Amino acid sequence: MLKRKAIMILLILVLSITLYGCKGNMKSTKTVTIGITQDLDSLDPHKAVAAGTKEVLFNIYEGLYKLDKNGELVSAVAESYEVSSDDLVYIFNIRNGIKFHNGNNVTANDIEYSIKRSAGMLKPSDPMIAVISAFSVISDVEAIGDNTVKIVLNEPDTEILYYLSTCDIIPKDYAEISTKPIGTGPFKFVSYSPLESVVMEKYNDYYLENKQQIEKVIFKISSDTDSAFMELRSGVIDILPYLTDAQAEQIPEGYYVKEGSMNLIQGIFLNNEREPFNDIRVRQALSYAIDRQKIIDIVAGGKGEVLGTNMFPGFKNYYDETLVDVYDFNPDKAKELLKEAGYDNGISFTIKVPSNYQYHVDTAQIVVEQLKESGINADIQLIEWSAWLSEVYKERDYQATLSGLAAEVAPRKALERFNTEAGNNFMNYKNPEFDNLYKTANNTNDENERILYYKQMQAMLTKDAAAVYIQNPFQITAINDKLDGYTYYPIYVQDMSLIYFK
Amino acid sequence: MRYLFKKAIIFIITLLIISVLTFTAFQVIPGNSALTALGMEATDEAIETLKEELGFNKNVFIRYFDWLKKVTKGDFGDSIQYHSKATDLIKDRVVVTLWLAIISFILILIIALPLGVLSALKKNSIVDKAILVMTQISMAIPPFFLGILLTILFGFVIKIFIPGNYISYKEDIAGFLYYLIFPAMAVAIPKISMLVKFLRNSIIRELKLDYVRTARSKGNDERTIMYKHVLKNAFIPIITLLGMMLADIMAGTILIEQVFSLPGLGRLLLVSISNRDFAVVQAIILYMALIVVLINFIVDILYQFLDPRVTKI
Repeated sequence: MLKRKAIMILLILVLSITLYGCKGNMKSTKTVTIGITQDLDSLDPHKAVAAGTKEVLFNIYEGLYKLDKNGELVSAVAESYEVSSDDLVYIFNIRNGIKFHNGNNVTANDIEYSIKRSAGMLKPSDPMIAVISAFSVISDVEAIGDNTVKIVLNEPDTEILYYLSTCDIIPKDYAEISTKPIGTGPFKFVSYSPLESVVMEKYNDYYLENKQQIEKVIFKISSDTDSAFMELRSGVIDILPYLTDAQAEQIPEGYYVKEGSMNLIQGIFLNNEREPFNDIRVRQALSYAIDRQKIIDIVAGGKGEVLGTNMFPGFKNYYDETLVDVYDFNPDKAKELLKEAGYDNGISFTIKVPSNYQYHVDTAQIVVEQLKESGINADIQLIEWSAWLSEVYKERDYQATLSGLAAEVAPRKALERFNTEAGNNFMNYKNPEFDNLYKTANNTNDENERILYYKQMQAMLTKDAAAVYIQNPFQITAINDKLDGYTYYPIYVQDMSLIYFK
Repeated sequence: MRYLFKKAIIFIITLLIISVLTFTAFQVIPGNSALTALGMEATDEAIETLKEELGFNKNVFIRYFDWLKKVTKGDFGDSIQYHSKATDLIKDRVVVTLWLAIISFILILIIALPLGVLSALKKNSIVDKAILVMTQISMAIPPFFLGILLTILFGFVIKIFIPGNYISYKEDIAGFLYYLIFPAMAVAIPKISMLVKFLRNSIIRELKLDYVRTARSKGNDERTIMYKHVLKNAFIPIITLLGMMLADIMAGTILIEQVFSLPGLGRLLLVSISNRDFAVVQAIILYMALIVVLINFIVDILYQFLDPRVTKI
């Protein structure tokens, strides 16, 4: 009797499970799911620091101006601006009738509050806010009436507009910004569950003529690229950026790939103060000892752009591509330089690699093999990202590290860190000539002239071999056949407002 | 009563030791939460201010006792990454992990027990040998790899499972449980093998004992001997093993949640460790330890109930 009952129950269970499994994937047609592999570090735009978070929040928040896909500034919350003749006073006019997602008008007070907040000028200041260091030139922000804001600088800064674009405008004194974000972007926030997803829906009162079709966007958080790829294969994810080369070759049916520049400076960054890299000849030897094109061929199937200096290639006017050819692959030359520097038997050192970036780990393995040809012996030491931040980036306790520097809004960002006194000069690069050039460039208003200075600085960094610049990798994205409009930006952005159904 | 009291004291001491250990571990590993929260562009000044705010500049002992004082009041502190209470974060995720563990445990029981008995009854037959080979293989596969194999098998070959189509228990409990069956398999399969082998040996050992012969000579049929006498005795050591297994399952879920992208405690733990989110890590570890210690506690009591001699020791 009991046995029969047990069998019955088991049967019902099995049946219901199978039936449940047959239930189709019920998804509304206007929803797009995009896979990300990193959880957000904050929903508050002034506290978020991870590139992976800013990429998502780009859809919710906007600054006074924002970058478009060509790296040009376009007006967002502000409609226009005027500058005083001494370049010290900026007046911004707020876009007519622009509203936050909660329906309130954006006022000059909100802008004053937002800029002061991310400049660390609010008292008492919240220590969790990631202060934008370039805002140190701002001496005052003042709301004039409801629709204009005056920003006063200590000294002229030709790139201040770029930096202002990174400061997202949020409602003044809104306490729930980190749980229920409110911005002015094309999508409004619906919900966030840590480790699961961020859901947004179309903001119907967006100021731009609303051509966007997508009603709802789900950013689905997977634990790593492998599981995300499984989810792509099963059809749960429609768009998956940052595919590996191997994954790009096994794209499932119903998807296509789009490639674009990642705008990352991948390189072996050297501690210019540590032996043996305190000798310029050793650093140059290292540059001769690696075959950059071959690295790209092996790691990424040839998809990448060889770099010769520390500048984001996305800024086409500023980037000097001729520097790629300064160092060719030449093990004999490398050995010779090492000998000159007094290292007759070659050198040994350790490369610290952040373990969460498989791409860098793969690259490091090939670099180590190539270096052997020139009698250079390198060990790889994998370290966690937060250990990398403290050991390598802050304490500068390393010989060499293989990592990437992500593109920022302004070209100056790429060079700033090489100033002798810069807080983020983790390579300990010291060259008074460079410092002078940097200062001169900053005080130059004429863009063409400034570009010339920037190129001179780039050449200096290449000649001094402050680091071994490897490549600007490609970013490969898988996209559902039904969708189009995925666009690459020169900065880290997943712009969902441009996606549409074919 | 005294027995229970003694157990309760040990229980508290265990948790205290665990909290000291995780606390110490956090002092030793490189990286710090202030730096991770503020990122690459942070100035030294900003980092110092945040450290001060978070209390990182105080003496280690003072910090530990401050933390302990708060914990006794039920306050585990706030998550730096998620800007919410550590306990709130855990409350939502623990449901996922517990259900995963429960389903794994049920799978283990309903599959391993019949197989174990079967292979003991048909000792050295083809069936027994087949079971032996299968258990040997499944014990050798690492759980995360098993997870990937299962995803491919059920997701892309048989197609009864949609990888990534996780549904929150708040939305649809049936869908949630259905999704969990597959990761639960990955947790359960190695344990099933362990249990089958253990049960088989335990039954075979019992069958050789004198009381079985006595029972036979009294004219009982094999069925009665098996179900009335042998199994009852063979199950006593199994209880201990099951208790240990539950602790193991909790550990196994950490890895499997990673493979199946489940928003459970294990994934929260890994994310929090890499962000140096101390409050959350400490709370999760204590939570898990609490569950494991509780299970052991229950096993002890069960044991006492099944075999009253235990209390006298």
